[in-house]
Amino acid sequence: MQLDVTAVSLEIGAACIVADVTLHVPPGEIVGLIGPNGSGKTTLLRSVYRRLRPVAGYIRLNDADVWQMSARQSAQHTGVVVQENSAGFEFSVQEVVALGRTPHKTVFAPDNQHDAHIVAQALAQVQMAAFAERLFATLSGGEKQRVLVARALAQQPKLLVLDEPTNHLDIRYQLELLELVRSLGITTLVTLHDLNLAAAYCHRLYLLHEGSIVANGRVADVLTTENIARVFHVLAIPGTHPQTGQLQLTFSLPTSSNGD
Amino acid sequence: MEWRVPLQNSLIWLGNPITTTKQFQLLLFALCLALGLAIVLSVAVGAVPVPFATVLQVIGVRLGVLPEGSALFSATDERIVWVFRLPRVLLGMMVGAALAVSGTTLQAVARNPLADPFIFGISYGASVGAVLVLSFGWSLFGGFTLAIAAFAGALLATTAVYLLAQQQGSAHPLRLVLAGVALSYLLSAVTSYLVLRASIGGGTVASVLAWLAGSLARAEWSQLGLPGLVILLVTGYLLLQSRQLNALLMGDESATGLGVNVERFRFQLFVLTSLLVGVVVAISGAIGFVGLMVPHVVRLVVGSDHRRVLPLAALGGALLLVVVDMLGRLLIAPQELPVGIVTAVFGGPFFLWLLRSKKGIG
Repeated sequence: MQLDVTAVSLEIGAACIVADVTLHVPPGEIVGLIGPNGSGKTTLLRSVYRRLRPVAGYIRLNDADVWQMSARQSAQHTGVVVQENSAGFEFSVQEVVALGRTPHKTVFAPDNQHDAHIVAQALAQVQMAAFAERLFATLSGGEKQRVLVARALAQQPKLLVLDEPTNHLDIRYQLELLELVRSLGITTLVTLHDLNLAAAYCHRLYLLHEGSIVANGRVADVLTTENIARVFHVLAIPGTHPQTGQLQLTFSLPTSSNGD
Repeated sequence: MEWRVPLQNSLIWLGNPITTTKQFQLLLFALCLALGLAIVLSVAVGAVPVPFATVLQVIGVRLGVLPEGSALFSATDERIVWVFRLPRVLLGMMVGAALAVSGTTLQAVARNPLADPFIFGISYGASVGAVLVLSFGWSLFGGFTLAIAAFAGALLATTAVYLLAQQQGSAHPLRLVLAGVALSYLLSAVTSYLVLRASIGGGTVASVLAWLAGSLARAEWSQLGLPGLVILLVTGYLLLQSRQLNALLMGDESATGLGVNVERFRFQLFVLTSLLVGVVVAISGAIGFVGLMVPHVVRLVVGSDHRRVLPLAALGGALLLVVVDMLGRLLIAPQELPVGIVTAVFGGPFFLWLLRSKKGIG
């Protein structure tokens, strides 16, 4: 399944957050959305999973307009992982993952063997099968994040939308999580803070700046010294990872002579 | 931005809730049994005690399970059991179930385990509606006037809370709670004024005050049909929406990602709880504690899945109110303690004890 965002503008209140953004996620690819805080990354994702309606433009899954679908129909195609606080209510890990079946079940249909199988499989995929009976609230940040990915997988999505999935995770969990996403082969739109992680795991990147796309394409074409200086106001020196050969950036604050 | 209270965190460590289906079914069965026993016991005790067997016989004959001829009870016993006590006990059951179910639902709506019909102004709105009718003696819709006024008050209060909490087309749980608390103060001031006004006029103030304290004393068979039907239908509908209620607990963004139309669903839940609270407040007055504590206790035992929480909360709320009403009739007999006072007096300390004896659960 492919995602097409065409000329989308988004407003919160009267403020324009995203203006005339067009982006394309080809089938099976991981596309990264990067940009500084407040550049509109999360807002753009919210319109893709039908939380914030665009004031202009279209969002299409293959050829179907996401905003012509019901919330339920959209959730049958799109799995979402966002960070939210649900403190105060206890669910077991298994119950959390089983919520992923919600869009596929009618009100009268009880959970059956098929659902149980999908839930178990999703837990196994994120290596959390041993935690099925544990309380979600007692897990570490990395474990919770993997369970939320399992919940999205239980939706059997054709598109994954991930908002800062590596936030607050130890470095090993960051790598494991993105490795997992890559191994799934599902069309994925992901926002990432860490440019080196974006370089390592995304097939292509879109660079957002003040609500507009200022660069897009292959990793090396987007993460240039000029683009990064313009948007992030830091000096980025490109290099290569000694083992993988991937682009790796080293950052420093610009000296006062070439700063803005 | 989440509404946080230290209480929430302490509850996390109460232990691992029961989760197997078998244990849940056992619990359901045990609660049904306890409720049946409590009903019979509550009908049996009082100023004139009626033997257990007689209670069962009267009910059996009236329901047509036992043949008429087998009756071994006096006409007085029959009147006490069937006319005076049973409707009251059944009403208590309904009120308890309705309050517990609406508390459960509102806690999901607010994503806050401390939410209840009072926090959102629903109970106060219903009170204003009912007190207006009582103090002015209106009877526009005959016997249903009180129920309709209470529901209208509840619905108006909820709608006001919902609209006040709106921001950019969405009502955030924290804003809902804040708007609800603010409106509650306003509405309770209106109620106080109406009571004061009635007391100056003389006459109706005693009935208004008795109603406000929460009482089941006015129960009659003819009053049970409407709330019974509403409670069955609404609870049944909510049970069918259990998955969506669970998804709501995960947060608005996540719930949307799981296919829930959050805004529409939340408004729907508000209207349904207003209906539940309205019909019972009209008959019994605003009874506190039940809507807050019963869902809480049930969650401590079975976790947060609404497929389990809703039926257990309904049964638990029913059981609690039947027992509490019985105590209210016995403690200072021949006087009666209003149900609302008993729930508060026993409920508060019970909950504190529960919080402190963490090992007692699960």
